[in-house]
Amino acid sequence: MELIRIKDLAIGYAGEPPIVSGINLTIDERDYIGVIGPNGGGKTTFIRTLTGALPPLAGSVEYAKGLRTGYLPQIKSIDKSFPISVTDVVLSGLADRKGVFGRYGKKDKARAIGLLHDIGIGKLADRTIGGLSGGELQRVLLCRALISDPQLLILDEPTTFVDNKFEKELYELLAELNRRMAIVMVSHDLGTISRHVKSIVCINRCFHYHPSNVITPEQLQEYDCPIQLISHGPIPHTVLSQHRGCTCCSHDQKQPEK
Amino acid sequence: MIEFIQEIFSYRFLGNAALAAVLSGIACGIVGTYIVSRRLVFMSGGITHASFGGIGIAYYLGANPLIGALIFAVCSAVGIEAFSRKGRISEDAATGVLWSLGMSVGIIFVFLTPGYAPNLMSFLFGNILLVDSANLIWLCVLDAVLILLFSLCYRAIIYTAFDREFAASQKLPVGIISHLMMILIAVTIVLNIKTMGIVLLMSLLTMPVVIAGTLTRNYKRITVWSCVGGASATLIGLYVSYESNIPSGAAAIAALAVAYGAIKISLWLARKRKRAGAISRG
Repeated sequence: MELIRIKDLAIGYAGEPPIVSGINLTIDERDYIGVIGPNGGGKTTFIRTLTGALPPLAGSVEYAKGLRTGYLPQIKSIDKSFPISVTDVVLSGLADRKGVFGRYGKKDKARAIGLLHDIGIGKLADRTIGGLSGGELQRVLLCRALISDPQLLILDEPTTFVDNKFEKELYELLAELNRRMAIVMVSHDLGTISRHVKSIVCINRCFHYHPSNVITPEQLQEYDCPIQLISHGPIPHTVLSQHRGCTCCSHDQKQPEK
Repeated sequence: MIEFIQEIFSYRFLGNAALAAVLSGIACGIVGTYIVSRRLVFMSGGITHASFGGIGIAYYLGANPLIGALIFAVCSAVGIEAFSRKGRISEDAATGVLWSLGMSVGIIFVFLTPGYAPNLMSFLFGNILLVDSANLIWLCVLDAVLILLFSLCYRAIIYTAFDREFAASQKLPVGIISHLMMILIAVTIVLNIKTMGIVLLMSLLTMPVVIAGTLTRNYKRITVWSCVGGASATLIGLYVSYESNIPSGAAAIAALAVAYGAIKISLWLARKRKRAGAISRG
């Protein structure tokens, strides 16, 4: 079943030239798409358009009727000083179903707390988010994304600020969740992502869809998407170079650097 | 004290003032919690001061100053949001511009108005004794709207305030909610200018929330305690001004400052005693 069909989509901010245009993509049930690309390439703009936070500049995003999506935004967008409890954050994942005047009953609360227990942070349920560590907050946000039992889970860099243990657990959990929901995940971590996802989208001012999870440099050359893997100090780094042989990038090249 | 309470019920102006104190405290408690949680304090200060421009122009034209203030406050509230959303000017720069621009427009028009403007001080520092019935009715309506709105859409409002992006992904009408809240902030500011004055109003919006925030980190409880704290402080201010002729707004804020100090010290003492207890037992 098709969940989302994207046609000739241009993304960006109103009144400015589009960041990426000519996006065509269909997201099906059980898809597991990794979204990669350098900072400023348009990954988050794409995700924001997908979730409906940003209107498309051109083209269309068609959603399957009654589509339930779960969204895990970048953790840096969260204001930790806001006076809100962990349970209330998780419950906000039901806002779509409840609407503006919605009442959240005991059942909903029990479900939220159950979900927190499942993910191993049940004891934090009554705490305010102010005292949480990065990893704990990331888990809370994951529960919020999952509480609506989504058909499509959208994650924007879920592994920033978390320890290796949680990262491993997260990928295991996502693999399990993928049996009943489609996943779109933005990640910087090129090496890790390729082991888990089924297909890859590369956004770098232009949009490339690779229907496999293999991103060895040789393989990607075939898709005109050369990727360089370099080491930068103690931290393994991945940098994407320009796409050769595609019209959108060569057009980009002619423009003066900002 | 007893005499003061008796006079509240026998003198109409004092009764009005007491009622205004309570209604102001409630409105400022509800809106203040939102402002502090969303970090809109500086922006609200800008809106408050920008409204003085409207007061000045209304004086010059011989119109109702509060209508002028209301137009300026709502326009600057919506203006700051629109400006910063476009991304050309940062929100705090836009606020800074409107803040001083409003004040200067106000001063220019007050000076252009022939004759002396006797109520100028009461707009800057407030005079709760000058609150009239019309003002009270508006405050009543505002409180009713705020209480109704927050009891009906509490979660939609705080979820939008907490994480707008996520709220949008949940198809909450985030644009409508945040614009409505901006307008309510502007209206609350204007209707409370008479009680607290432009210069002192920010304290009534923020101090009760800061005090409540030291006691609880639950949004709902912060709101309730801010309303209680704000209302009691303005009542104390009224009483102090009744006894000693000190302006009520300033007295109310002094009372809040004393309360904050007292709570901080008692929390510190409680912690110290707990630690001492732990050491002697340990």
